[in-house]
Amino acid sequence: MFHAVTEPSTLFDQGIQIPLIDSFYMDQGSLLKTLLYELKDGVIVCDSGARITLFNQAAEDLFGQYKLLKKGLSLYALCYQPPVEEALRLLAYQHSLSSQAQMLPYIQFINKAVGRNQYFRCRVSFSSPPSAGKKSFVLVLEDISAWYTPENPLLLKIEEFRAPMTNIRAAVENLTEYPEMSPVMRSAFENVLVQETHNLTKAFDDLARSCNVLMQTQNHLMELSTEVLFNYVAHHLEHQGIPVTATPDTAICVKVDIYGLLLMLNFLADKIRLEQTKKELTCKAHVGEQFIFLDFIWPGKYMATGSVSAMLEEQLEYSLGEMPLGSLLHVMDGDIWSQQHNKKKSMLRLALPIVKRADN
Amino acid sequence: MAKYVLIVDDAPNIVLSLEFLMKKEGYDVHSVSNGEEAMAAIAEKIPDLILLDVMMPRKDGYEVCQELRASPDWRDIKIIMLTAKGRDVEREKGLALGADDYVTKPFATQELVEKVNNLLG
Repeated sequence: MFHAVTEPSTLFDQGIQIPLIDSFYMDQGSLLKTLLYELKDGVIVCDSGARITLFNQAAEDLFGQYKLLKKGLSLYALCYQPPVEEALRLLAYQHSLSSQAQMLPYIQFINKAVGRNQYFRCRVSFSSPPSAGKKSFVLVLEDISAWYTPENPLLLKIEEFRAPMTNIRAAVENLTEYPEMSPVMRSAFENVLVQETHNLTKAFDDLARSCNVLMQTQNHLMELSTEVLFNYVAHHLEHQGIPVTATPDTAICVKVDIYGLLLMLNFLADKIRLEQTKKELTCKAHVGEQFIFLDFIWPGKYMATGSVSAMLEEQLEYSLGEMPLGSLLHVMDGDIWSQQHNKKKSMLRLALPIVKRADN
Repeated sequence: MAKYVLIVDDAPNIVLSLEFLMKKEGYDVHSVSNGEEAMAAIAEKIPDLILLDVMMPRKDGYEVCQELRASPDWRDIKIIMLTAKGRDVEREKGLALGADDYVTKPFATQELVEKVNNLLG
């Protein structure tokens, strides 16, 4: 592709008809735009005053649905100034010392989002010529919050578990090996068991939280506002003859795999229609305190838990890797259950967690 | 007359601790190891409170809870779910299906005792 763009004359000389050459050559801007858009890492280009001149979708995604990025905005409204300036100083310094061949192309450093508990691995490089005074620069960002947060116990898990486990084991072994020990000693070891079990429980809870944070920072799921999601789901289900009422909240977002979600909704709708043999099936999409709910509603009794559990085990046709419904739900940290909706109607509820903001 | 607590859990070691704790608090206690036995025990004598595990063979805790809430004779039984299922969405599900409280394992025994005492007032 780059070959075609950079050496069109050669190809023309050879009389090779490559219709795309003209469009690539004339549309290089679009090509670069597409490449920038598709990059996994966030890219922000700043002028010499650290004002944003260009950014890609990944950079916008890093800051969630806040739509904070704007051309002309200071970079330092988004992330802290000192680490960036220090990295630029170091980059300029080593430029001044080194020959062209030895120059580091970028400086890598850690930075933090302003006002949020979000950490980035950053790479900064100059986009102006070395001879320019104050230079414009390019910043590439990757979210490393799950790994870097100083309080993140994931990095300390082994040590945190070893200490209470060791103490519990020692206390238990002493108690069992020396049943004749004095009541004072017995009481002391028993206190150790109580204290260390508490520590172990805390370490376990911290591990579970860290795993959740880790999952949430992985970008394999798309963050969508409920406004977009509910309207899209409504459009999809109404095509299948299922009326939908939706009450979104524009400030609330959910992480979903949209293809997987629609497969699940199709599957659940089909299952309900089969089991309940009712044509009057509706859907209600709404926002709770911690979850969004997609409720399939029908007249009559709720589905037995056994039936719902069996559905979770079923493989979804057309799903990637023929995943069971339960696994797909787990990927989105969601769940389903059936319960009474009101006196005459029941529902099957699909719950998905709302995206938690560190500063909420 | 002493209040009656039914323990429904298939793990003997935790049943041992729960029985010890409940008896210490002056409650009458009976234990079963799965959902089907639980329904049979409830039919025989209605408990005031059930300590209900979720993951059990032969009818899980969610199903027991839902059946109890659907029955006019049993819908007022207090239920505390005790479970290793610790995700927020699983707690939401347990409470939605009728549990009065949802305690994730491992738990502090005195906190559990306090919850039982508060529910049995």
